[in-house]
Amino acid sequence: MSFDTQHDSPPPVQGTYDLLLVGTGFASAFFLHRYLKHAARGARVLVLERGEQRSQQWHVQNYEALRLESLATFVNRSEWKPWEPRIAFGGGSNCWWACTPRMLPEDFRLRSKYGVGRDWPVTYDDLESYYGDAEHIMAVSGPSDGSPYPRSRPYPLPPHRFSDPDRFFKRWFPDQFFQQPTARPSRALPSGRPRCEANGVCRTCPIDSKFTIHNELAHLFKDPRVTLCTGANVKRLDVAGNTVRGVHYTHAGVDRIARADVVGLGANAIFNPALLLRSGVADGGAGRGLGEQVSLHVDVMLKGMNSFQGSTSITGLGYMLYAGEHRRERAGALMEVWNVPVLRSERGRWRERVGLKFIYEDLPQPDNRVTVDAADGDRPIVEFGARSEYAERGMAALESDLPRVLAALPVERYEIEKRTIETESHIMCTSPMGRNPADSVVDDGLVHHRIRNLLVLGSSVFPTAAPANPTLTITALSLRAADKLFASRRTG
Amino acid sequence: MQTFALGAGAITTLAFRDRRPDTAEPYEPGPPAFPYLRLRTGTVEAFEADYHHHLGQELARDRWPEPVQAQFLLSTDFFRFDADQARVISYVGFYEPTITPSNNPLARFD
Repeated sequence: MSFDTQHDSPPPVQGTYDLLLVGTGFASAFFLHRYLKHAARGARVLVLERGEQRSQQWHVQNYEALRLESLATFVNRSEWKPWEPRIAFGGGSNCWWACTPRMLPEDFRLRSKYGVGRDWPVTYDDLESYYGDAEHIMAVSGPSDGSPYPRSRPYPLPPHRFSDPDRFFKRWFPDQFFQQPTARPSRALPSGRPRCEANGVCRTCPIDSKFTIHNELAHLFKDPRVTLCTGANVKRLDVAGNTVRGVHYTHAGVDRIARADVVGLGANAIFNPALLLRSGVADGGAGRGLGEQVSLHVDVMLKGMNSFQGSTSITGLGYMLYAGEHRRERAGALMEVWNVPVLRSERGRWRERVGLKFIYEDLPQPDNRVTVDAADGDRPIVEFGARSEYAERGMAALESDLPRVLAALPVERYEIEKRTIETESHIMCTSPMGRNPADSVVDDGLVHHRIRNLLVLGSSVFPTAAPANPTLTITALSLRAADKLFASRRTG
Repeated sequence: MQTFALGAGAITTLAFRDRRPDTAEPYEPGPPAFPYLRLRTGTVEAFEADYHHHLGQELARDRWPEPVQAQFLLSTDFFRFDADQARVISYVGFYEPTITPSNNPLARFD
């Protein structure tokens, strides 16, 4: 195996940084993007990334090797439930499918609207402009002539082409079915990224079309104000009273300490709480509530309708089972229409088939958690007992919900796969945001309730796991957090 | 009337000719999964050789799993000509997007 790697970067210079970021995934990169717009010319930023910075081609060729290497960084005591972090420059951007829907306004107030879960300390309106900013940074392709959520500006790129099943869903459910917003571009971009060619292996795009931190934001880490140190394993925070002074990390086998005025953790929802716990910062239940969405696949055989004419891997999103009064009792679901060719073998009917995926929200359970073991200072422990009854009721209702949904199509037969999809590759809710320090870790600006120069970034701060894919919300929260950080400085 | 009838007959003949199989070009029958297809000679062998080359597995020609059947069809020009079963079908290249990307014959971008 040949690696075209960037050499292990030298350790950073001594002194105190203005900002120290842990991780280079979506959360940290988008925070840095906005931070650098505010920061003075002489600002000093240190970014510590545990993984290495590799080329896109390396990721295509070494996907499985990196996946296994990343799995070895934590102890999973509930092996039936896998988790899929990526320890590398760019974090989850190296394996995501570039699905970028926004959350719905009601997702932010699940408790006050439906009496379940908890409310977020931010509203959809608080995030709306940041959603738009993130969509522009990623060059999201999406529908601007209809949307399940209010928008103040159009998508930067036109939507992808529907497949024929999508068209029928749209005709039947005009206000509940839309082209999927996605960072798989419908047009070639000035940056050099080609248009999506519907290869259907998006986890590592073979033509580097989908947005990644590597292909669009690597320049941030070359800013003169930024020092990127890869191969740096952050062990714990250096906390004194109610202030974080820096982090302890190892680099090239040597223990080091870096000091900063502000520290931001963007190390995924397993390592963020692990760092807090190892540092004696257990406030607000850090580590508890680990979770993600859960999905069911439905294989539909069509009658006289061909499929797979869309222009990307996932072409349509259905909101028929998402919002509504059923969320008082059971989980809502987002439906994806898949355009990756899965053919039939019957003569003349090869394309009369479509795959649907129903992504159900789950409510965080306190016994699903991340903990640390003093005897193993390196690997957090992950335990996941069971999903919520709320999610289970949602999935159980799919059988009775499906006829209404599939009324849009000429269906010969369908089959709900008995086993849920193992993982959505999301890791969430272990350092939730909230107004009450007793049951939340950070405030609405992602600042730790007690340690006011510490931020926790990423989906670990989600109080709930809505059906919508989390990445766009992660990035919007990071952009907003950087704005609020500078706003708070200006007001003293 | 007679002219019209002759004209109609000529048109019918032309249409019929377009639908007849291209028997002038030599072909071999499709694999057991698709016996009705007409393939350019060596198409199946080329696919099986590439399958072995890229995935390191031998295929039992009479027992292709459904995903392999799909992969075979996608590796030919079958869908590029509207799945015309009367045509002699050619092998285009091994359909595995991580190896040969930008080759999805079903996707449309217009």
